[in-house]
Amino acid sequence: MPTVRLQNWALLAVSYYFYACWDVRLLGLIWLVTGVTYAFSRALSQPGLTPLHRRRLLQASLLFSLLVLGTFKYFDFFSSSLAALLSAFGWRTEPLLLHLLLPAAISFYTFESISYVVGAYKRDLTHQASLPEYALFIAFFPKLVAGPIERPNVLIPQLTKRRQATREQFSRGAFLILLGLCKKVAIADGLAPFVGGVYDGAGPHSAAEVALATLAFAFQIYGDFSGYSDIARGCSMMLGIELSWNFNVPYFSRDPSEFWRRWHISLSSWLRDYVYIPLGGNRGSEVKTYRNLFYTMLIGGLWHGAAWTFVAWGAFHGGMLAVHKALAPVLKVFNANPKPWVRGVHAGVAWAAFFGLTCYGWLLFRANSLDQVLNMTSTLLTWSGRGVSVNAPPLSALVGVPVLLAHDGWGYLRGAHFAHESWPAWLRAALYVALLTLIAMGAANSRSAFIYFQF
Amino acid sequence: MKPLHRGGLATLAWIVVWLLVLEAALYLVGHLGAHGSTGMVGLARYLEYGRSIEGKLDLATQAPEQAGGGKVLSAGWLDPAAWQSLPDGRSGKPGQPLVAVYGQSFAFRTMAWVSEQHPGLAVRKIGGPAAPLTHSLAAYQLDVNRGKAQWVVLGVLASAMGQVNALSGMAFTFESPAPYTYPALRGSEGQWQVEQPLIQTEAAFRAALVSKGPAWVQFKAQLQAANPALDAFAMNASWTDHSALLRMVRRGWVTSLQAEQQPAQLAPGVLQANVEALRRFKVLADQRGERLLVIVFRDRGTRPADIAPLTEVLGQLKVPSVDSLAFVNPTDARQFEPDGHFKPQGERVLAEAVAAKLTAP
Repeated sequence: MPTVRLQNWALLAVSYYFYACWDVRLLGLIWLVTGVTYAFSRALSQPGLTPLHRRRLLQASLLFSLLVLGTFKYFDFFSSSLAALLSAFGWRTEPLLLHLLLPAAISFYTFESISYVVGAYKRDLTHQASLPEYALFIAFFPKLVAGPIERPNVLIPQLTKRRQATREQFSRGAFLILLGLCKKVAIADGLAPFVGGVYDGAGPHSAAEVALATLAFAFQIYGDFSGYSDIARGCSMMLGIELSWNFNVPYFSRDPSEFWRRWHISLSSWLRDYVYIPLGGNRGSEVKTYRNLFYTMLIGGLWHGAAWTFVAWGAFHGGMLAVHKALAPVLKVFNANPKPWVRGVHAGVAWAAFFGLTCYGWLLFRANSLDQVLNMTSTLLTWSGRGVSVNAPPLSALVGVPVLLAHDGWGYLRGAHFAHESWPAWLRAALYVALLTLIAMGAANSRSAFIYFQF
Repeated sequence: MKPLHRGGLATLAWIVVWLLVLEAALYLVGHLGAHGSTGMVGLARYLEYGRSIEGKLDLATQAPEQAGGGKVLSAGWLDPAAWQSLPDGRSGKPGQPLVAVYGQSFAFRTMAWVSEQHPGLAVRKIGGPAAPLTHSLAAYQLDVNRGKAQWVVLGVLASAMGQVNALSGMAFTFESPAPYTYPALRGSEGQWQVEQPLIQTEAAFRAALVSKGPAWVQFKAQLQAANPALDAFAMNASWTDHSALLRMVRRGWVTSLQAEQQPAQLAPGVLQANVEALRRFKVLADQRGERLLVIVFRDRGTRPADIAPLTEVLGQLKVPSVDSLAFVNPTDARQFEPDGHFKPQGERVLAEAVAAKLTAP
């Protein structure tokens, strides 16, 4: 089917060009990872291999992928941390540092390559990709640098067919791009200076400043990351390709389990399938289940970056998941109460409490050091100082956040991503004009890079 | 017509309707704000930020009450013919020691604190909005026949250093263009040339702006050649000025262009021009027998690498100076007002340091 081949080669060339715009040297690494992992997957697909041989191939492939990721992303971090630990015991030593450039997208495409090789090992790939198809699966530009972390059985089958965006895909794609731009330009970029003024500015800060900046960061990171995902999904749709959803109105979650079914869905599902379940999942004792949840989220935190604050964030969410699981029988009582008002109050309290905890998690995520985490936590707990002397965010963010919440709220109530499509034409048009206006307002905000580009 | 097409056309029609409704609402806000409705003034001003430079200047000349008074049109002009006949403008009483302050609002606000604490000093202020060193130098050169000052205070604003050769304040003050002009200093060590702006007086500016004739066109071309971020969309009045939404787009466009054009650090030629202007200022001060004090204002976004050459030459020339870094942290947003000035507590401690230098025996 020459047309499909042509489409794929054109898309691959564009994707590599897109990636090379960061730094052309990065192409060498993505080609290496693509080539080596593809070779492993082909080897795993050969008939006549013994189970032991296949397991060794899988282990070698995983070792290769994790070695690449570990070397570029974590070597200096662990080396410095080890030196600091030894220093605490009186052994002064200079850490061995490689000072390697962190390649953009490495965390994303490494995980995708692992998905493919594991799929080849388990023989549950619906389609054995050719090298160009596999290369495109890895490098497809809309999702390359900040996800979603795609699964081979979702994306590769689409690459084997001739694609033409339907009218519905085109219009939905355009809407997603509009929504994503609004989230990024009006909200995320608008809130960034306010957040930075507290987190990156000279301290100390009042409790009110810490609380407001943390709340602002909750919307900054949501606007930034879900905005990117929307734009990525929108661009793909307009090319006739459906990427996985990465967000599903996460801030309406009432517990950590629900949150991780709605926030960065591609990562949480990847961690579930390739870390949590292989660790044993919930098949063992309750304590083992809590342990597996904790370890999985610890890895999830570390995936975000080579810093102890990310590890702390992961541990915090792991702890919340474990506690939630332990409290599940108690919470069931409230959920099953026959009185609607009791269920309603419980839902409201659960939402408020969990949102507060989520925001505290964002404090861990955004903080520049564990010292800052401790200082800010202490400030919040003692509620020292109420004044706010950092300048307020711009109008685009102050108006954009309620608009986003209203849009998300409607989507949550309807349980649909494109819930606005059921609205009458005049109301849909009002939404589009509101988004366009917010983008126009936000265009004057100073630009900041997508947060997840650094992961 | 298929249902999908009908639905799409209906949505498109409603988009146009809502855009018109929004434009009408924003026009009303602008109208109410311009005519003094207190609740709308801030929003009205916000909606005007994206008007083209020419459009803002036209509004300021034709309807100054709508443009916040139009005073900015008259600020900072260096009219050689009229200079000597301009009032002295000094505060204080005759016979008091005179401090002549050259620069911009940062310098004037600091000296206001100094005057408050030391009413025995007379202060004369010469400058313009965000005026760079070349403006201050040109003003000082014009002041050759003014009465001798005991102290000449020169305010150097870090964020204005990059505008040393912009030729006019309106090239870099898009949201509130101040059209005063000043010469540029181009070249390098030992080989400097002065480029004069084609319009040098307020009267000539107003006449050119109203006529939009060859003088105005040539002046704009000169500014655009000196300032790559000053493109036609930012500069020229057009029908887009009548749309609040398109004004927002223009504001975003200019912000993006300026951010793109902003170098990671000042080009060597620009740094050298600042240093040369400072040297020439010092030479003149020595010739006039006036003591020079330089205040370096590190406003938000100051890059230390930009200030280092200035600090070095101040040391070489043995010019007393006060650096705001000791009193205001340029990376701490809490120490700045929304308009970019230092907050009062920072200004006060800086002023105390300045006063200490001025009043030292």
